[in-house]
Parts: sequence; structure tokens; C-alpha cells
Amino acid sequence: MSLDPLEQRLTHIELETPDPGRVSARVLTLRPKARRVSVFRVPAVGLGTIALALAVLYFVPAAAAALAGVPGGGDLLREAGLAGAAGKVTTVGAVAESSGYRITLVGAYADSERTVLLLRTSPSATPGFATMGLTDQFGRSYPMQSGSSDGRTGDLILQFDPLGWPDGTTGARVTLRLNSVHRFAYDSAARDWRNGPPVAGTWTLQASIGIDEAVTLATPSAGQLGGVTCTFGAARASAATIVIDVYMHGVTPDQLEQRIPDGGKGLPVFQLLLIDPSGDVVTQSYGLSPASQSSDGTVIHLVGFRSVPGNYTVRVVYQGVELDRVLRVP
Amino acid sequence: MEAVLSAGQTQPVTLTAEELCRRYSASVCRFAAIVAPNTGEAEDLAQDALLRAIRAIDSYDPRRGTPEAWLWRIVVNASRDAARRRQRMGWLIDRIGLITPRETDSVETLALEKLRDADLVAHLRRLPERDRALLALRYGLGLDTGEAGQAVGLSADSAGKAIRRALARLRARLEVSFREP
Repeated sequence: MSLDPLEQRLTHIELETPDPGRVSARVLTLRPKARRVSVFRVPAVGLGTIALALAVLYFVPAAAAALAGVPGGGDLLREAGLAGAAGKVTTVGAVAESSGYRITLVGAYADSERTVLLLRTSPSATPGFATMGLTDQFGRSYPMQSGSSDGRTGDLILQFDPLGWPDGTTGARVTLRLNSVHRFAYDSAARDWRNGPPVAGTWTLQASIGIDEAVTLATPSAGQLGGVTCTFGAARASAATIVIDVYMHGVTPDQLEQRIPDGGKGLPVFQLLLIDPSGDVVTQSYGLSPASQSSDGTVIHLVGFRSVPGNYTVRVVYQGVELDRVLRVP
Repeated sequence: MEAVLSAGQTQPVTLTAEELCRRYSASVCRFAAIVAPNTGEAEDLAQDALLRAIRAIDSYDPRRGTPEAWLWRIVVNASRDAARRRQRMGWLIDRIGLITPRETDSVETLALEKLRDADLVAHLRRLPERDRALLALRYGLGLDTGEAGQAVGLSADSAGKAIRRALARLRARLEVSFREP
């Protein structure tokens, strides 16, 4: 059957699609755990294991190269939410100089939720984010999630999406490219640190990053928040990150995103907090999505920072009612 | 979590979550890119659809159809739910566009020649949710009308008609935009 011109265009249309590797990595991170092993998989698993073992040997940095502490990095590690993972941060030490700016990739860390690069700039500068990119050995790019810098020291923390499959299992060789920086200087009149105009240049920094494996935590028991049942799914902790899925049954994401009028911007009807053993809130982010296609319900993927072992509290707040559950993190 | 698939195969093959992602993530992302209103939401939709498929992988029954048919039903349902959630106003069918008669192929060909892919995608994304899903299945994934219909709960004949109507609506939109640049 012949296609008319419109059908032909639709068939061959160039699309900007999401990165299948990155989507797969996230999905495989969020999935429920496997329940059984099939005999039909044995040959494939064998081959897969050999391939992954070779890849791990190639990518994962030697234990001696892992840091006990990044140079000058206590504050930097805390700011990056890596205080609990100093021994898992890979020393990189790659340096690039251009246009009078020296940028050092001091260290790197990756787990199933995030990829963190620790940099130092001299003189103190911030990257031109629009022209910056992180790619892996397969050429896949990873969007930046967040960044922070200390103008006094030139320390810079950049956090990106988690590495895509199979990097998330084997580790990766990543390349950070910057094409402009802004001089970061203290404006005494404004009494604040400010970015100067962009300075063009080329800075290319490479690193091999091993993946910090997460352990599975005991699943907290269900509870009630008013008339809403709240249950918990898979909880995991790496050296730096704690993640847990929280299910709110019978309420949609839209309902959870509503605000309670207070004469101003309104108060959130729903909040999810992760509280560390010392009482500090260490929630990094959470996202809401529908739990199933057949009934109302929302699954919330919570990501928080792990700094020390101990009891962490997951606090769910809905319509003014609180539910606390404890995660015992080794 | 895995399922044993046998449709069209002499030996059972196990579809694990990893295998499902490896085989189908690119197609799911392409479908999502057509159906979702922007790239960010396309990524969310692709992720949600694959996650649903993995969670439901044990429910796949080879006697009831191919794994692809099973997967596309899940993917289409995910896109429907996403569209329902967003409740986008302003995406209503342009009734003037609906009844605008197609003039000649030459006008359409001329318009298509001038149209960038990004603009065509933008028009596509303004179609009703079911039209987008059908066109994404038929042309984005290359399914035939029977397979596309199965994914949205239509017979092959009905799906063929629905796809033609969706094309007509898209064509009408393109003609309006071509005349009123």
C-alpha cells in the first residue's frame, strides 16, 4: 500500500526522543526486585556476567584510588551530600586550562540516583551551564540536576542524572566539556557574590567512575493518614543516598500537589521528608507519578542524603496529619 | 521479575526487565516523543510506560498475543493517563480545521516541503490524544493497522478508519497553518 506525502513524512520524521539508555537506567532502578530465576536465562546470564566482569575490571577504579577524603573537601563533601561517602569518591585530578582559567576535576561519585562531580576553579568561576555537557563512553549525555559553588575557594559541585544502562552497573568513562565560564567575584557594593560576563574557552575533563552499590533496607509498615492508606515500597541506601518509594492510595498526583489556602501562596497539602539521625532534614528531591492505570493512587520516589549510619525517619504529611516510619540504615 | 515468552518462537525466551528495556526502550521513547507535548514529558511518559510494563511482566500471557501487542497496550494506557492528568485546555479539536476540505495534493506537498520536522511534530502534538497515539503507533513505530488497533482496543478496520480521520485532522491543521503563516 503506497503512502501519501504526509504519511511518508510521518514515517521518516526526525524526532527529539528521550535517551533510551537513561530512561532504561531509571526504570531498572525503580523496578520491583526480581522474584524468580528462569532456567532459560542461564546461558544469557553467564555471558552477561562475563561481559560485566570484564567491563568492571576496565572501569572501576582500583581500591587504592578511592579517596578517604577529597583534598580540602570536608565542606565540599557535605554540600554535595557525600559526607557519608568519602571513601567511595573517586579521585580524578584531571586538569584543563584555557583562557586563563584552570579547572580541576577533583573527584567523582555515582550511584543509582545521581552522578556528582567535584571541581575546583582558579580563579574562582562558575561554568556557563548552557554550553556545558557531560557524556559517557557511548556518547549519551546526562542533564545537570543541580549545582553549587563556593566563591571564596573556587569549589564547585555539579550533580547530574544517574548513569545510563549498563554504565549504572559497570561504571563509566565520562567526559565533562565546558565552553565558557563566568568569573565569580564578590561585589562589595551589593555585598554579594556575582557572576561576571562569560569567558569563552575549552575545558575537557575525563574521569572513570565506579558505581556505589546500594543495599536493600527493611520495608516500613503501612499506615493511615486520615482516610488515606500509605504504604512503602523498595527502600535502598548507598553510601551517600537513600531512596524509597511511598504509595498514597486513592489520591492522584494532582490532589497531592494542591495547596491549602493561607492568604499567601498556600501551604502544600502533601509533604515528604527524610530526617537523619541528628534531626536534620536530608530530603534531596521527590517526584510524584500515578501508581497504576486502573485505580487512583500515587507513587512518590523519595531521594535523600545519607551521611551516617543510623535510624532515618520518613515523615509523610497529608492534610495536616503526620505519619513517621523509621529506616534503619547500616 | 520476568516472563517466559513463546509467541512466534520455537523455544521459550525469558523477557526480563533488562531485556524489555533493551528491546523496546527506543521504540517506547519514539512513541512518547510523538505523543507527549514536549521532550521533558516524553521522558516521563517513556519511563512511566516501561515501569508499568516491568511491574506487569508476570501478567503477560503468550496465549493472548504477542509481547509487542501486550506492551503497546500498556504504553497507550500510560499515555492516556498522562493526557488525563494534564487536562490540557486549548488542545481541543479545531472544528474549522475538521471540516476544512482537502484541496489538492499539490498544496499539501508544497506545504510539507516547507514544513520542518519540528513544526510537523508541533502540529501532531496538538491533535487529540487518541489521534496522536494512533499516528505514533502506525507511523512512529511502523505497526500495521491491526496491531495499532489492538493497542487501543479497536478492530483493524476501525483502526484504519480512525487513522485516516486522524490524518485528515492533521492535514486540516497543516493547511490552516500554511494559509495563515
